[in-house]
Amino acid sequence: MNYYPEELYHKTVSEWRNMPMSNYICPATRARFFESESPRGYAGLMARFDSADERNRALIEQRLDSCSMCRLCQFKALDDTSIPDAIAWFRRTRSLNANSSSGLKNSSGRSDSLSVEKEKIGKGKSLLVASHLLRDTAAKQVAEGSPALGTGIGAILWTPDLISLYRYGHWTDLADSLAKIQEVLKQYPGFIVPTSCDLYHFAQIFGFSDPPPKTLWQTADLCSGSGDSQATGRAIVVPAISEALLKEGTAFSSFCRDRGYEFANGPNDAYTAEPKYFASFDDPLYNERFPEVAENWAREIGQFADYLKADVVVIESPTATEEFRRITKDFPAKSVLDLLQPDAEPGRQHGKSKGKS
Amino acid sequence: MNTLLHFQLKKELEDILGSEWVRDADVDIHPLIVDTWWATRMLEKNNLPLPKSEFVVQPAIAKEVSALLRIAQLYRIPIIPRGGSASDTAGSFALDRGIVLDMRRMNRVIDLDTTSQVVTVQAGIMMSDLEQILNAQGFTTNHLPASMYCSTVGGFLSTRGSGVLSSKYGKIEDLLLSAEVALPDGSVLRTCPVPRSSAGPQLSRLFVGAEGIFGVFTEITLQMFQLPEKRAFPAFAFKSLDDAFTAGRKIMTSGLKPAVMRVYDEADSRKMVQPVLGDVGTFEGLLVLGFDGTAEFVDLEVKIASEMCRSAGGTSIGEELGSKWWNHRYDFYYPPHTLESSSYMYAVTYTLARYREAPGLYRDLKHTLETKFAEHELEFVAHFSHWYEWGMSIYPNFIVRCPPEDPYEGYSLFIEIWRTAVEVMHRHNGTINEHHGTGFKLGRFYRDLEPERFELVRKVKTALDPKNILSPGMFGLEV
Repeated sequence: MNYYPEELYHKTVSEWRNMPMSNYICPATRARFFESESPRGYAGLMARFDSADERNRALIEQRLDSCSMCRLCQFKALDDTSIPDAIAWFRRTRSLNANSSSGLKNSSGRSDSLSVEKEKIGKGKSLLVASHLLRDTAAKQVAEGSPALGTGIGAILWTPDLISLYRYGHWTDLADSLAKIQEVLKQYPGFIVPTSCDLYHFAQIFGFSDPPPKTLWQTADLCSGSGDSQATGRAIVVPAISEALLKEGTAFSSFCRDRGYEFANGPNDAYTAEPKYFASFDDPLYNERFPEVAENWAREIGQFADYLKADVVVIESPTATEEFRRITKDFPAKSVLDLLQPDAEPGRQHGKSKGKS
Repeated sequence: MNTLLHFQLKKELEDILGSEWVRDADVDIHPLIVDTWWATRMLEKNNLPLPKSEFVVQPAIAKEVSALLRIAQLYRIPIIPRGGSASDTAGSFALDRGIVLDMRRMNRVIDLDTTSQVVTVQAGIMMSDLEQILNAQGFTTNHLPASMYCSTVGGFLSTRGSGVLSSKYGKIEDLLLSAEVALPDGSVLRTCPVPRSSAGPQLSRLFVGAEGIFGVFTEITLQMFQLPEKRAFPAFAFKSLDDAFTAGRKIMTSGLKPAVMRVYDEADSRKMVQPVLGDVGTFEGLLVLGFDGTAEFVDLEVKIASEMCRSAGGTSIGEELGSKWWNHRYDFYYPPHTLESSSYMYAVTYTLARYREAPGLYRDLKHTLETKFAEHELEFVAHFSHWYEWGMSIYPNFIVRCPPEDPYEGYSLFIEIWRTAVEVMHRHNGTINEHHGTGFKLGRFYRDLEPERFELVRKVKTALDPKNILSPGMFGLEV
């Protein structure tokens, strides 16, 4: 399915190249401050790719990796352009390994090195891959599912969830989400592997000093360097986040509830950002639109799970679960659980699906 | 710079900031070569070389800025402070190599004095972030330009930014109490903690509107206000633009304090407003007013201002359009509505003049540009968005939908349009710009048309920054 036509890719790059108005909302930009990791910068780098030499092409792909696909910039666009979709299109058609069966992420050799380095990692942890659809059910389902699965929970909070709740004033939902994560952390001695959005978000909420957040792969690199599944050093402060959630989560939750919607947007700024519906809400793996991208995302998650010796990968939709199982057949040791409906057969539509627009 | 010097300088920069915050890769430098000026987009589209820095660095505290300036002095390499890069004047470009000092990591609120209603921040905080933080405490700066999402507080001060509520709350400079500034030699100046002192000149003003050529704002103390209880946005249609001007002038000189005062000419209503807000009708002059404060006071101000509009020939079109404008006031600046995402040649030839001269300036500017550049089918639209007790700003856009394909021909045309515009402005005692700064783009006009002021600026620059380290090339000064 050609979800994002080439014309739209070119329109996106052209429109956003000089358009700084969405940089402020990009978690990667806000956390790392470099223009090359911003919606405007991504557009510029994609435009420059064809004229760049091979070394810079590889660097461009690395910078594009900083886009966490949270789609917040698209929230602010008033037309059909989307930087995350343009990046996905770029990866499929333009990147150095666009036609390689070995996967898009192999461009700088990281997947290969990962498979070697993974042996250095110790502790077995379960791995929770969460997304925005999880917030109503995550704690309950993990609580029910995890004892059967064995060990504690290691959580990757997939990015569109908390940051969009935060930015768009859905404080009650945010409070609920944090409370549920807090419940999970109390019950299971897990850890959070923050991607850029998450760490930025947590830093905002709890007033941490601002260590530069990392992408999934940068986190993996750090894990490799630390020799422990909990990364240490300046970049990742995983225990601090867990502790903060445990200590302050309840207080923060009630604070959010008291404040309500106006806290984020503010009565002074009546510009209401209407939440938009994105097809990715139903297809978080992008499978129907970009099978190759979905394959590589799933592979990345699978490799990451393997890398951390995770016992389980938990995904929120049967469709994505099915695809994940198919794609990650190279990782037979992984269990895959649909978090919303643990007993659901792959392919069965869950009740929350909004269908394609 | 040769590789040995480059490596040595890079190491020294990393020693100050940590390697995480120093970048010199092409992929990190290249995105810095555009701002919102048409010419940069045009040159990049044609794969022509644009000015590039050698490094981009991210300081977190004033001490680091100070250390960076000292290093720059030793290496004689320019330092270019940069906020959100929303400039349309090439105001944050490394014109001839240099170190881009990206200030956005300096984004902390340092002190929130709710008793005095004063907030102190690091200069790199984004205005939208500051507003969000203040709103949560029941306060606001009331500095709400569309660019608040892509501009820092330091950037606004450096260019004398103005927001949509400026008619009541003034420009950013009117909010400034004091500042901490890193000077070109690396020393740090902290100005008097409050204004209105008679002990010497108000030094903080030396740096306001100076676009970083005299020093780098590192810390800024601003006045803030309580969030209003009510806002109201009455709108009026006028059969002539002059009637709308008269209504606006009478309101502004009556003692009323409208926070919003915007007049759109017919072309602007049709070409710019209508695509965003829908059919707004066909009027020669459209006036959107905004009042804020306690409900009782707002109601009274609306009543009095409405009477004044009616007596000037205006017809009320209710509050729906005004409220819609308020709720969508930033949509004009997002794709697909913003001209910055179009392929057109365009610019905002903003200016400011007294009430006596402003209407004539507008008419002369429109007539001259449309006539002189008729062969290029130049379109001229204007609104009038920042009003004072003595005059108003004129915010015209010129649009050339099919600019010459040859890059230099296009650039030359662009400069000719601007030269024509500023000469008209100058003839009517208008300013070269109002709130976007001068930068590199308009510097030559400042040098040519305001020679005495330019010469004094040059002398001050030479005294403070003899090696021309900070932001070379702005205001028509040496590159």
